[in-house]
Amino acid sequence: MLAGETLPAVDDADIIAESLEHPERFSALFDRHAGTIYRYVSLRLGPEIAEDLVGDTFLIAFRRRGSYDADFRDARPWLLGIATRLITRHRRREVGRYRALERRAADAQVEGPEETITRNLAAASSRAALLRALSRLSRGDRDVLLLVAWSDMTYEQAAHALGIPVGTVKSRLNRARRKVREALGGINPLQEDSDG
Amino acid sequence: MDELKPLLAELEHRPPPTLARQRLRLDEAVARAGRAGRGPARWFGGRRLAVGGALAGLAAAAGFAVPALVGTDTPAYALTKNPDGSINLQIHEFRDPDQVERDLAKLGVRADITYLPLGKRCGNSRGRLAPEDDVKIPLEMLNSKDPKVREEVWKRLDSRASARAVRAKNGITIYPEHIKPGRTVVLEVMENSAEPDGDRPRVLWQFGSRLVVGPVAPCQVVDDPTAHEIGDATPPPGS
Repeated sequence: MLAGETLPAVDDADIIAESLEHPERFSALFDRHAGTIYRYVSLRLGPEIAEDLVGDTFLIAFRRRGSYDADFRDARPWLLGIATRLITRHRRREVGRYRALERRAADAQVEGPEETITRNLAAASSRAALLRALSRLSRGDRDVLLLVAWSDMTYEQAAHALGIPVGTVKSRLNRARRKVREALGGINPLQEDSDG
Repeated sequence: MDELKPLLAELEHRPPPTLARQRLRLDEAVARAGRAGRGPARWFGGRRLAVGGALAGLAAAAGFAVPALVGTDTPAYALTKNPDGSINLQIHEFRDPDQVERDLAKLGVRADITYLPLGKRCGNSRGRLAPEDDVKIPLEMLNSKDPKVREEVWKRLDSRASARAVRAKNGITIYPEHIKPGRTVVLEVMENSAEPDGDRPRVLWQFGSRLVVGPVAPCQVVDDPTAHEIGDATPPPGS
């Protein structure tokens, strides 16, 4: 089938299915999602090695495309799951990044009207608290928290992206949320308690 | 978790234009897969299609004795000169690349061959690329989704002299008429970890080739994380 403006949009699962016979079609998946994967990897590891990891993610995805389940129309959870596995090999770099950014946030100098200063200081301390919390989370808790909070995945999507049961996703997420909320709530008096 | 979103967004970076280089990496892997899968002269032996070669290759890589099924005197490779002047190389085992190079030299082809185990690749550029092997593809073309532009990108990738000189045909077939004097064929043959694609045979090995002018640097072996198993990242049914 040829993709045309009058036809329904071709989704990720279609592209992957076509790429089994026509490998060159797989590159369309890169065009769609490389930016998202880059933003996710750069969030966790910084920009220095993010590009290579994006390339690695798509090479792995390409090699594994034969076992892709076509019922899963959006390939992002799959790709983010592959990227997450690659990221875990750089755990030290990730934790080091959060700590360095935390120090920078804590040292932030703000100038301007008093109201602005107060707001900026609050934002800086929230950022520092989040970074400290992230660096202290266990690897598994952090993976779940970042996938769900950053990419809006459902529990089921996160479970399959990470290859763990849904129950584990929920318990890890609850634990990670609690820790981050405590960190944020404890340091940011301007932040109202959320109902969640 | 909504309150986390803006904080997390501050940590991420924008995709740079140089991300297109990764697209080229993918395109090259795709091109290799496409060439290997096309036509009856499939080089890459599947587990079921070429059990003998597969066992011999895997046994050699893992360091145990070659099973009797294959025979202990199986040569590591076979080199044949075809009537049309092309040279056919069939690799049965990942050993003795120097001997392959010497035999190729007798047939008039200067080559530098590296066998790489699973999970490794050459991390350096190896030498100065021959002008006829250097393809210029602007970033906007690489990023284009226009099928006509994509087709042109493929044409340019396939127009490289190394794509004409070294083809995945009945093993590896080398066409000396596409190799100018003073060029060295740099061939990197990698064990591949690809999963079987349904009914399609597993790709056991893949190779990359390029034409280099002047000295060829030794392969600096680096890890290739894409080659390793990473567990099951397959999405769920019905989600």
